[in-house]
Amino acid sequence: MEQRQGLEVALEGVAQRKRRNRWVDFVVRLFREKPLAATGLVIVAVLLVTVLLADFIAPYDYREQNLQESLMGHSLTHLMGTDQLGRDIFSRIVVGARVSLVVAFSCVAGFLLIAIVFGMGTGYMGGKIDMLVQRFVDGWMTIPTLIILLAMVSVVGQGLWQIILVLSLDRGISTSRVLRGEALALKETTYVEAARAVGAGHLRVFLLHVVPNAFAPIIIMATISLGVFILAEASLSFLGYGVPPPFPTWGSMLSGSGLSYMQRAPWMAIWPGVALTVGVWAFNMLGDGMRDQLDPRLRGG
Amino acid sequence: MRDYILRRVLLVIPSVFVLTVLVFGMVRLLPGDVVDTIAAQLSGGRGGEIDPALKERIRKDLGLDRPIYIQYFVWISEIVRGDLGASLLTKIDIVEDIKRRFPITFELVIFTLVLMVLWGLSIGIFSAIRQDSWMDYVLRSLAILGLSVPFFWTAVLLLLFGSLWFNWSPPWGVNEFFDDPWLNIQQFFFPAIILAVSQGSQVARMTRATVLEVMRQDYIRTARAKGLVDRAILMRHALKNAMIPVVSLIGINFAFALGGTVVLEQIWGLPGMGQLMLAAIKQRDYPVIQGVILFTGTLVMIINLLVDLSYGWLNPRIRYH
Repeated sequence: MEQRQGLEVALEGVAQRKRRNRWVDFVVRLFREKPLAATGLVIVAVLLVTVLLADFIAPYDYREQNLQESLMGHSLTHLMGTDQLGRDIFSRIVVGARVSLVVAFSCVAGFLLIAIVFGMGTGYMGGKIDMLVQRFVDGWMTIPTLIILLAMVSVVGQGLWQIILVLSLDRGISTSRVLRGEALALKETTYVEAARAVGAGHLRVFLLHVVPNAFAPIIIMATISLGVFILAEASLSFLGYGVPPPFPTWGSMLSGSGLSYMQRAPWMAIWPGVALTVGVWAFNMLGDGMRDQLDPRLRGG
Repeated sequence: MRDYILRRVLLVIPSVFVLTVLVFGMVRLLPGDVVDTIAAQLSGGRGGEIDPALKERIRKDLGLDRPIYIQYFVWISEIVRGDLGASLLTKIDIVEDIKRRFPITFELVIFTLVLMVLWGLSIGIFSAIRQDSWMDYVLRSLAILGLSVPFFWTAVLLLLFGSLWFNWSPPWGVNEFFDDPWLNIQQFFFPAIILAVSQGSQVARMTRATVLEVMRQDYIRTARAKGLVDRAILMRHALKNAMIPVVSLIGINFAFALGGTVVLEQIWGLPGMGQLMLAAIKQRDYPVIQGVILFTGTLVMIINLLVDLSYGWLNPRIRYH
């Protein structure tokens, strides 16, 4: 009896789900089952709005110096205080969000391209190329991420696009293995076999059947990587090899002047870190929730 | 087991080869002319008028004037003889420099790994045996928070509030463990625990999942049925099995900790390999950069090999895979 009811409820759920949009449904489920992931989603949405409207939200120009108001604490005119040059920290954090997210989202595009071509492509092809590429990935992964990033930056130079190039290259190579595994499994499915049997070429099968069916792992990987990129960019900026001035970034606000003035003006070292933590936490939670929702193996586990 | 060891050791050879090619190619294949940047650096970074003779000398020093495959063989034969060359700027022998600095970095990394396993295991076990209780949620949130807080920020905050509230700052310079253990621990404990907490959530999550899984096994039920107390079940049966996947995480975390030391050595003023690396990158001292990468890469490879071997020993199913 109980089981029957359960079945009916489940069927009803399926019927309802069909009527609603897939994405709306996803968000509703996220809010109901994963409150933490939903919080992450809300924070991410707030961040995106902040980035789009940065010029309206920031009360001051991020470059505007006012030496008479330097190193001021919290007040109504300067919500998060000012730095040693009298620049408004709140405005700099708002604009810094733009740099962080632009880097993170561009890197996601870049690294997915690399991981799909490099990982899934060679996994699908198999044979000698796959073997060679895998040994290359082995070698690459023995070098600690931060060290390889610094080394690459030292060669290609500093700048927004260089950072994006370096971050997506490293992440693309080191995550290609996961997507390769996915391609190896998809290659053996009956629908790929069927597509081949009716005469579809390898490129067509790869682009229309293999890649779209790896949608779930790809989207999970992308979401989780957003937080990773924000942190990596901040680490590089903190060490002085990130996005160069005049752009304020959360990482660079923490280093340099943030460090040298932190005894007199602790807020200079605190707020960028808070922004960084909240941003990364939101993307991590969202990525976690996405994984739980999209990966059937983990559901209810 | 012998076959497994042999197979695993043989797999290292192509990886080492790839590593050398990567390190070798890095300077030569990525966009940007190394000779130009070094020349600019050596002539004081004034830019504009770089002496062509200087550029020629650097090109010769680096052996960049010869065909690329000959460059590689010359380079590799020097490495095999244990010669990583000397720094372009300070002329200090790189092998000697690494030998002097490595113990500091290694101590920090080992300290980190020990604390990470302790922190991760205890959180994982507690949240597993109290599954879905408030303690489970608090501990897990704590672990995820640890993953989201940038560790360099935690380090900054520790220094800030240490000095503001307790008038405390970490001791500087080299303090050997056997000369003054207390001073040494003061110096290494905080950076190690910062790194450990930032990465320990992985260990915690893995431990929680495996303990939960193991607790559902038939042999645990048997143990319980025959009247074994919970503590003994946990210690004798569950923990032993939960440790296995944790071991596999050590290799990854070793690499992570090595990367983290670059930042923390800088903040804490520890003269280890991380500082060497950062200084080399600032001055674009490519032989040093290459040497450090080659050394850390090989080290990580050896650790991974050891982890894999111990994994095969702990978990016999792996060997026959």
